[in-house]
Amino acid sequence: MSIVDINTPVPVPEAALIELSEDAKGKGRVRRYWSAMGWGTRLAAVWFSFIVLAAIFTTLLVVFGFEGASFIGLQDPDGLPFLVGSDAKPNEGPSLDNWLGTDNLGRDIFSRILHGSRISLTVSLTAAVFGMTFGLFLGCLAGFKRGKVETVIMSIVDVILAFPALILLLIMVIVLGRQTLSFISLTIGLLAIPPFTRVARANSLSVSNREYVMAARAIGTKPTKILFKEIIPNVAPSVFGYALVYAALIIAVEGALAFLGLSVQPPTATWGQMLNEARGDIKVTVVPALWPAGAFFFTILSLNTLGDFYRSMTAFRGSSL
Amino acid sequence: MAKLILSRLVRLILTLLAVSALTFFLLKQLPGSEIDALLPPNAPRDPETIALLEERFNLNDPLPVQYFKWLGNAVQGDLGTSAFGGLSVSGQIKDRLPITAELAFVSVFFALIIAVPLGIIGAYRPKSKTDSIISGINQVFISSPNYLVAAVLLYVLSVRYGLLPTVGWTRLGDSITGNLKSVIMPALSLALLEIAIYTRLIKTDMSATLQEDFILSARAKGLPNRYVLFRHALRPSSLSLITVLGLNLGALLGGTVVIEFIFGLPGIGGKLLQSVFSRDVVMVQGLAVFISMSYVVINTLIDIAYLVVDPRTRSRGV
Repeated sequence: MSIVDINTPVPVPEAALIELSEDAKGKGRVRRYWSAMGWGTRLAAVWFSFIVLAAIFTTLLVVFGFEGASFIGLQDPDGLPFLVGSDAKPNEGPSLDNWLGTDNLGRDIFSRILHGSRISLTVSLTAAVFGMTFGLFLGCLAGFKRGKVETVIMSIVDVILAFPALILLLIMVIVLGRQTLSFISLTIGLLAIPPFTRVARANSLSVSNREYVMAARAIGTKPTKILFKEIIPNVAPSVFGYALVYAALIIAVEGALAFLGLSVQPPTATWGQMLNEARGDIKVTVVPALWPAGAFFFTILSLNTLGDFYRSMTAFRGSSL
Repeated sequence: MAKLILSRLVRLILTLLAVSALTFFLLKQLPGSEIDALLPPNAPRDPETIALLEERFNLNDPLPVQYFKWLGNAVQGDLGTSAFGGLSVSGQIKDRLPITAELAFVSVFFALIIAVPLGIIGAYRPKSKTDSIISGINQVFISSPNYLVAAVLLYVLSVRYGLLPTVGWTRLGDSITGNLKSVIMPALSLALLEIAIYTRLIKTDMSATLQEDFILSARAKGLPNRYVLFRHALRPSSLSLITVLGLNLGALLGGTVVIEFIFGLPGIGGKLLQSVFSRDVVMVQGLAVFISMSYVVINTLIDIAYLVVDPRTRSRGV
């Protein structure tokens, strides 16, 4: 999307090596990671867990209906109160009934933000998982086999990456013509494969020259087994680090689509569409715009922070060899 | 080296062919009949019009033939004429490119004048308080999608303080200050992310350069710090910056879609979006091919410029 382009390389500073303190060793992975985190990273982890929980919870609500959710202030995010009664309160500030206020149609913003997390997370996680699974396999295959396999895979990848990503996405969206959650997720997921393939290939090139791969070759291990047991497991950590940052990027990309009205269609709540609607009323009040903007910003920031942290945790694998 | 350049050019042509073919065949998959895709929804559908369209777009030929006929015209600069108001795609590009290009260049300019000093400070005093503040700001910039920045700028600069117009574009020819006023906010919205990227790049490269012997000798001669940093260290540290700069310029030429939409700018991205909304296939196809083309061409030019400027890249192979 515009300059936030899927293909634009975002350079990262040399990952600082984080030394584990003595008491952190020997604990489970989660607790080890937690004790290695700085405060900023911990906040990011907490915020992201909150968004994930919100997404899971609202998905359950959508599947099983909205009854019983009102006790935590949740209301039907798509319901239009002014159609039912005359007590429509468009663009109200925060109150006990509407924790974050109401939007231009009088809908409860808190509920809509929670429900919007469902869309953002589903799309970005699908894209990241898709890209990681297929990209990791294809990239490692190309980097390990070299020769014709590599030429074929990388030519396809290069052609797809020759499009500015948003342009290709726009074309795909109008060609597929169905703006439902599953279609949008799958389309973006497909487009996620080439950049992951490129990252995985670059990493697998150096892994393929390591001593343990040579040793495996020397004792006559089958190439397929080397690929799955040696190459892919050793490329996976860096690809996973990329996936975290990529997921953040996709939240922004889906937001751009939604902002333009080309993502999941109304009345389903998406952050991008909420932001665009609130932008229309920005001369009246700025409050309804703050919430989706904050949701975007903190979620993307937390994913980026977690990605940087993960990279600094896994960095020593490479440098100690 | 001539051979290397030649192979780059061959690859460029192959990529261009693939990109245009992919766009062409993708858009042929549009649901509904092809006539519907070419005509505005409310246009009359009498047999003569349909025959004319079939004639003009070679609809009765097999797909590959259609593609090569389209390509033949495209090579001669004729990207087709949209049935929506009879606009020619090439004409639209000619009208709108200056706006998108100005936007792209101004945003890169903003980004550079901010990012270069920040990156240098970061490299000169790593791990200092200033450095960590800069890294923090960078993290914030990287996490702000451009439409978010645009919304904030719109609120603060236009709605709150009324300094700048909210939407619209004043052409450079009509009024220079008006033109400046209409470019500032869109360009800034695009620039924040670039600032973060360039600052990190310069910082990384500059830190490496500052370890070099010639910096030590420049310092030993007693040259002032500012002179060492800007005159001796900056130039060798800006190579990868130039690559990314080129990549970004290419991406920006087509990628200002959302920003042009928000600020109502009559650029290429805005037109592309408008054509996507109205399902104007001819226009979408022409513009998409043009945008991807400029992106690929700029990348190749940078590659070639590298071969010319930096002899080390010549031996590394393609």
